[in-house]
Amino acid sequence: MLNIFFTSLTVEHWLILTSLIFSIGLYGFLIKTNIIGILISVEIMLSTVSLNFVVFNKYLYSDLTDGKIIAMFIIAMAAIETVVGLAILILFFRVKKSNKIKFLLMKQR
Amino acid sequence: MFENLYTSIHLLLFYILAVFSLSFSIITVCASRTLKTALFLCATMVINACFYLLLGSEFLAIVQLLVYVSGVIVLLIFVIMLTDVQQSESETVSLSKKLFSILLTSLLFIFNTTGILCLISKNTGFYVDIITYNERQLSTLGFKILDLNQNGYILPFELISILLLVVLIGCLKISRK
Repeated sequence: MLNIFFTSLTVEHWLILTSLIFSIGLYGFLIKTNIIGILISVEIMLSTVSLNFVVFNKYLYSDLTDGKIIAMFIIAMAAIETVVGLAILILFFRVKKSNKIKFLLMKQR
Repeated sequence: MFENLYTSIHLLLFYILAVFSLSFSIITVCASRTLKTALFLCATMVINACFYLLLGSEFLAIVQLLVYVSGVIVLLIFVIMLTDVQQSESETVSLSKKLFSILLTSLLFIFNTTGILCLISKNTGFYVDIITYNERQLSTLGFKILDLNQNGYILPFELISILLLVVLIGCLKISRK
């Protein structure tokens, strides 16, 4: 069974890799105490998902280009939501003078 | 004979890049300083672009480099320098929280891997073909995006451009003094 992993590049190679990097990004999302770390972990997860779309495009429908187009849209959307998150973070920093998430739920002095 | 060499070099490159990508992303989530996380995210995105090259989509690799590495990462580093200049050590997370997170994410990964290994090998629809001429052309991508039929992607394309404009104006208004 493990022989397939050393003969040629199959779709399972890519999918296991992307699910591993997605889990690593999810671990970072759960563990970080500052907001920028959380945004970065979301970036990792989104880039992995986009890679998954291209993998399925190549291995299932290699004459179509739908997966690549969707991956392009995902890249654009990831950039957009990072911009929005960072604008909110700048406001948050102005009010609370810190970017740790434990100040997120505290009442303002 | 060259086909065998091609597949083995492909596989070797995949494993080398996978090792680099995993190590960079692990350093990204385990680093204590924010600038370290941003820089190793940059490295992860570069390796991701190499993955796109392995998959035969060169345009997406360049798009990834342009948008992520020189767009998002630069913006992240600007904001890090604006908000967290002295790179104060973030407070240590308790070990029980770390173990719980590792347990949850490894459960997700094991679930995914069992699904992949059991279900996909039963389906013989996955195959590797010689990359067709149609797929190599960049113009098919452009035609598909601007297609006015039902299968075209012109509506999301226009919506994303409007969304970019809205986000630009909105973020300027939000972060004004």
